[in-house]
Amino acid sequence: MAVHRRCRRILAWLGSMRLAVILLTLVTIAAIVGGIVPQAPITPNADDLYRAYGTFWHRLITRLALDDVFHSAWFFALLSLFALNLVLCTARRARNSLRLAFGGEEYVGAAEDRASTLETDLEEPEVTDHVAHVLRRMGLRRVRQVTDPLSNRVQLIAHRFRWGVLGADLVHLGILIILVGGLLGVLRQEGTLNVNDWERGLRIPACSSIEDSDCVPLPFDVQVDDFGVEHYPESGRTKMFWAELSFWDGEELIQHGRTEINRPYSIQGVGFYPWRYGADLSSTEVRLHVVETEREIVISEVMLRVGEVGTLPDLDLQVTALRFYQAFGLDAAGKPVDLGNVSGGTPAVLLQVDSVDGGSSSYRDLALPFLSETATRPTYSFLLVESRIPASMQIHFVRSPGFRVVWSGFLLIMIGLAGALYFAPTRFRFTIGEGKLMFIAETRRAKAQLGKLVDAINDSLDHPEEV
Amino acid sequence: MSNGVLFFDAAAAGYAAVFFVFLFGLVLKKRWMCRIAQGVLVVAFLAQTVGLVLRGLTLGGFPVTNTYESLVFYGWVFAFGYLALLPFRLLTDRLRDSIGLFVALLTAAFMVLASSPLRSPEIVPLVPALRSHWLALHVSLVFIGEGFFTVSFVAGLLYLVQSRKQKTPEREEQLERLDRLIYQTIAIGFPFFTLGGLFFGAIWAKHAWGRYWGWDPKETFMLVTWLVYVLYLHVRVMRGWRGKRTALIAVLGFLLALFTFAGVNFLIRGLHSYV
Repeated sequence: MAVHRRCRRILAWLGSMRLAVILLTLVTIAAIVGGIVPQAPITPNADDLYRAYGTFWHRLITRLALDDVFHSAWFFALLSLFALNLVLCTARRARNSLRLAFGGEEYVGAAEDRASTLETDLEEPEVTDHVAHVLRRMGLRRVRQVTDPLSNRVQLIAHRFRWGVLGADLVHLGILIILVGGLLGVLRQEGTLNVNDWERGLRIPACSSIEDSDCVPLPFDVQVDDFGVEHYPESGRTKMFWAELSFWDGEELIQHGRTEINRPYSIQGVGFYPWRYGADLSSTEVRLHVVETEREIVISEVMLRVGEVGTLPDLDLQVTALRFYQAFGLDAAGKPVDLGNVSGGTPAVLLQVDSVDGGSSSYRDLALPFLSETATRPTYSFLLVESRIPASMQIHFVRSPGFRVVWSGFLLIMIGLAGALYFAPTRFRFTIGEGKLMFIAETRRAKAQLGKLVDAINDSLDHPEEV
Repeated sequence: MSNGVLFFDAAAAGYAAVFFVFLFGLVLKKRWMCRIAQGVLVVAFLAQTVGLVLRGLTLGGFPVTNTYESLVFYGWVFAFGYLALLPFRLLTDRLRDSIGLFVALLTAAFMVLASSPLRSPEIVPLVPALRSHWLALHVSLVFIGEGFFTVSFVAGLLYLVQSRKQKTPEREEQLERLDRLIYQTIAIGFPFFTLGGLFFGAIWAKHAWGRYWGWDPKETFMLVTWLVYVLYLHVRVMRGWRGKRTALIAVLGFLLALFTFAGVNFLIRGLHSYV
């Protein structure tokens, strides 16, 4: 029996308002910490940052998982306890809420014990008329009259916005559903497709499209037919970017669609989002002239892309484009760097030159738009004649079964908030008999209006001619 | 088409004038001065509204696309929150004027900040990420909610100041009215804030990034602000807290809302750093 009582007490505490306030405060503090401390999964060099705070803070942050608050075990435990608190609190409230919303229009004798009382000389039907009149004047249109068959007493039940009583419960339910939706997030699958100009129309198999991560299996192949960017005509600024996609099941075309920023394309629960648009330097195509260094005359030409090998059979050479520089420069240590898309910059391509037969005449050369003057010059030099940097598009795809669950949770929260804050229920119960009028306020708003109602009824009883 | 700057500058001057007229009216206890201040406040608000409409028409969208426009719109919602409550006669004249004084100060401060040379009033075309009808719904509803929170903040501050003074029946009644006003403004603003900030924000995030929540600093502090107001509603409605403690929570809630709007943008980098 004692164990049973203790369990009930623990359950009552777990579903209590006091614990709810404590948990809300703790979740708020945790979120503030997570918002201020740079979170490691999305912050480059996060660990270096924490070290810069000093040893104490570094230890504190890493040991308490403050560097990844929202994925930490303690934050999960906090949310779980919060969910439990909501479940128990809602279960506790549910009986009364449902009674007030759907029923409770029967005679309740026990209610008279906690009633406020007014004495009156008037007879029962007259008092009933007075009370009903005042109630209607106060906006409580629904007034129901029930009679107790034993005592013959009459009870009036008046209410307004009876459904509003479910508001808080709906908000609780909505939050719980959102938490469940968040949990379903573990089933989320996502990946990225990277395509450039040379890869338009290329079919990307269902399981080889992921960059630096495990394969995300898709139930179809994806083909990026085309992509591009639109600019504002006046300023030349980027307006939007888009991609045309085709989806294939083997040799069968399933669907064709267009995705734009803020307008994803969805197929079989997978959403495709244009993520980034830019230049793919690592796939730049270059045209090189081969120059006989001694006489400074062009003797051949080769076209290749970065990472590709080009062969010059007449010269017994093969050339590999190692890296393309939009604007070649040297850093403080004398190492080559790309200064980026700057006006007046000199493009360059770093080449690896080898003999086709594997001879010993391998060397690295930097091809510029002009012949450079160096102390030691190889037999053949390379001149960068033309370069074509392909545009690239990054398309993100996501499949998450939690979306719809979360939306329904949000919807419940909004309906619940409207009920709880804008349509708060009012409900009074009056027992009339034996020269007495007893009344009970059954909801919070009714309690707030009780004084005003008593005054109004008193006034009405004192002036019976007005009804 | 106009970029609205002329109207905004006029409104800023108007709000500054409103502040001083309210101040003199309250110090000298001249009610007629406060009435004039209220009239000028309405005119300044209308000028600002016209400016926003013109700018929106020129931009071809909702004018909250950079820091300048956000500051102007934020100032607009402060005045909106105050003016929306005026017809309801929730307060005594003096309390209403005191709240008007602080609201005019806050609005003028934001308008002056927007007009500073640091913020360019130039109309800049929308970046791709902001080209969505969710921008208007998300931002306007959040800001409308915060407009009401502003009034609750000012009422909370007044409550805290008044409650330190000697208790008299008149002051007790004033405190009671202020406490009620704090609750009423939060109760009005909170659903707007929830709908715009959390619900529509999540829908937009899903359309733009493929996820409805990502613990981005702006999202996180939006949630923190929301939780503080949830806490307020719980302790006031369910636990029956009144007075200083709830006034303090209301003040804290608005300061967090302000930090979410401005502080996060400037201090913490995240996905919402467009401006």
